[in-house]
Amino acid sequence: MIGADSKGRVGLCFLVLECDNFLEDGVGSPPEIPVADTVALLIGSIDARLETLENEIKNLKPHSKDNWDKFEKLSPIIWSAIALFISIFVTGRLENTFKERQLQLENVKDMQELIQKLGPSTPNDAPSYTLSLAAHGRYAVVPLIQALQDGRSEHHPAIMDGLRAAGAVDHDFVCARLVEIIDNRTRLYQAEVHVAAAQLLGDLNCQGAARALHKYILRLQQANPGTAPFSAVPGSQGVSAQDIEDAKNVAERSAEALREQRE
Amino acid sequence: MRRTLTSRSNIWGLSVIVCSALLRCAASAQGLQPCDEVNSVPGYKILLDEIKFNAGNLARSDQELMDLLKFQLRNRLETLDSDPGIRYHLIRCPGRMPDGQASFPALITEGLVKRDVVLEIWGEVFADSPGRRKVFINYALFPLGSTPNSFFLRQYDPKIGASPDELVGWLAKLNELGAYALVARAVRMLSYNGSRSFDQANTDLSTALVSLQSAFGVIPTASERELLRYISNRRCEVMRDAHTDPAYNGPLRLIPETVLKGGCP
Repeated sequence: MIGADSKGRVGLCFLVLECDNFLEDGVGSPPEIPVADTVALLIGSIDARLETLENEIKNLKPHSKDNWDKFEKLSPIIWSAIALFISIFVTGRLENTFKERQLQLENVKDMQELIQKLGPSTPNDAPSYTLSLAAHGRYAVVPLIQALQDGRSEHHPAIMDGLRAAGAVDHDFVCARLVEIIDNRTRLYQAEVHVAAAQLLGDLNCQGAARALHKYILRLQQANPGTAPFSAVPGSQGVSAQDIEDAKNVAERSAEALREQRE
Repeated sequence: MRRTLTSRSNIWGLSVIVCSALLRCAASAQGLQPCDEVNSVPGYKILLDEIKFNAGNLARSDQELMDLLKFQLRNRLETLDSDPGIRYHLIRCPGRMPDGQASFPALITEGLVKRDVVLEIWGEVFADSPGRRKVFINYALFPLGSTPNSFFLRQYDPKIGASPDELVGWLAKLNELGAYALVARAVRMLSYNGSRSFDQANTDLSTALVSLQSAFGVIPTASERELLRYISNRRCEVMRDAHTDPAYNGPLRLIPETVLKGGCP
């Protein structure tokens, strides 16, 4: 059995062969061509080919995109954004750290001169140095505490003012350092430094220090000159019961001030 | 907004602290040069500040005369007591010239008391008439606190020769100076040692009372009278405490109650 397609082709071949014979021989009449069959064969062939083409075109239609396709498309943009974010974040952090270190060094240089001048100054001049130191905020706290520890009683009021001023600039940091002093039990600081720290915690309204002050008072209630958390005032005969009593009284006043401020 | 408010309040707080500190320092603590030796010498200390001799037109420089006075005073004061634990230490504070009581705010006074500074002296010498001089000496008895007044300015007209050495010699032998030191040390000893110091404090207060009564003369000023009354009362207090304090077993306990009641208010 021959299909429409094969029939058309056979018909066409027949037509071509007969024409060739006719032209070669140059004799006889041309063969009779079955036109209707040939046309039908041709149309069938064209239909089949069109159908094939349509199917192929259908197969060529694009599929709908899934998430992975979308991600692939967007990935260059996403990676660029991530790289930008990381570079901004990391660079910013590094820059800040570097600037902070630089600022710290500059502060040290500035403060060095002030600290040197504070040493031999009169009580009249000392506040100008301690207040200039205090303008450096957190960086001034350690030198001012060290100046208290050195024990020049003539500078004591000026140093207290300096620490109060530093507290106005960098409140939380100063409060934290003062709490460290009253929490210290290694006798690192002399009695006057403890008394000053206890007083300043109240003056600066360091609410976060209320618990530490309460513990400090309890510790001092049980202390004697041998077990006090501070060392002797320079030039004195040693830690006295009066030193402990003074520190306790000041700490109690500060705790009371903080409580009143809360209410 | 919050940050702005916080920084504004910080600046405001800082300004208030700076202004108050500068105003306070402008009003006090004039000319009080730090005396670092106070922190390194243990024991009861007497601070010898500047005495301006040359307002008296003396032939020798202040520096020379102060050095001379320091050695003479040290020789006298540091050998007064046989017990090294209570011996005075004379500390020379060059350039230090307090401006009276205003130079000693509470924090500074408290610091000096804690360092066992019992007495600080400074002064000035003026030429009164040819060959005669007026000497003004300031005494600050730190452990006494505010009652009675612990700052004294005394004026002297020494009947001595015109030479600066004689003036220095007279100053070094001034009994009054030793008496002030005795009172201040007794008060400090009592607050530091309690009953362990009753005997020494009683002796010191008695000696000082006699010495100052003689120095103040028959008509003492109001502040001098107040000081004499304070010394007398403090001495009585020591004797009463010696009778009642169970930790004390010394000779003061043997004083009869009747004597105590008769001699004390």
